[in-house]
Amino acid sequence: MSNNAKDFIQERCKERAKEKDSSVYTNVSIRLDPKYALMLQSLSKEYNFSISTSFTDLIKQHLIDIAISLDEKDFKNIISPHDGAWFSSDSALKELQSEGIIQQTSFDL
Amino acid sequence: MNNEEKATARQDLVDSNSLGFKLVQHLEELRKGGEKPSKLNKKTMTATVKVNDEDLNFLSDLAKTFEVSRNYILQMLVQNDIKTMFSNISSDNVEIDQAILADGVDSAISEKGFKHEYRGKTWYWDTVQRDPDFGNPERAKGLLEI
Repeated sequence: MSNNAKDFIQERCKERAKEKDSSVYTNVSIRLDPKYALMLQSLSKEYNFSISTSFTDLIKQHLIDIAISLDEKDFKNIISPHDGAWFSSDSALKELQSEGIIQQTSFDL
Repeated sequence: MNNEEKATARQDLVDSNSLGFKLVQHLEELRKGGEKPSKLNKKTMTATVKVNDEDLNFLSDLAKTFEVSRNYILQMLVQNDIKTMFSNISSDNVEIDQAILADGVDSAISEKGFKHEYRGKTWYWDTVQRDPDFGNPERAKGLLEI
């Protein structure tokens, strides 16, 4: 499989998974400046992509960058309370946990 | 890993070119009393995006800490992504010409009665200014001589 075809089908699979597993996702309305909203509509039409699912992974990646860029005080307030927590889905916090930035879950069995 | 080691590991991962890093800097400025970018259009348009619930809670905590709305953070992220998407349209793509797309969107902004940003910040202007000859005084001089 060529890389382009592989990327294409992987993206479609991800989109389908998001549609299927809607219980861990919420649709959020964002107010955008018309300049950007109209460009987004145009790009979505020309490149045939779904607006709603396209930003899910982008937002997650930005949140990872945001979390690691926070100063110590803000990091302790926002991220540290999640140390040892269990994350149910493919979220930024789960990714931070697998990177060792958030303490891993520990179960007492 | 103790707290100090965790902080060092985190510092190693920081990408100062990332949008996340730049947004944190912007939010810190706002918290210190800085001003939000001015709005040209009072009216906005909405876009619906699917966000992971845990990410949404994270966004809410972030918004609370920096005393802004969750929409403001999402708006900053999504608008910057749209800008990046547009600027990365391949110039080799003959079917979707960047300048034509930009012109079409600028026209739609006018048709819907929204205000344009000043000259130099419309989508079309952003596109055409990439012409290496644009603004070249030598070229302008040559044109005047003709």
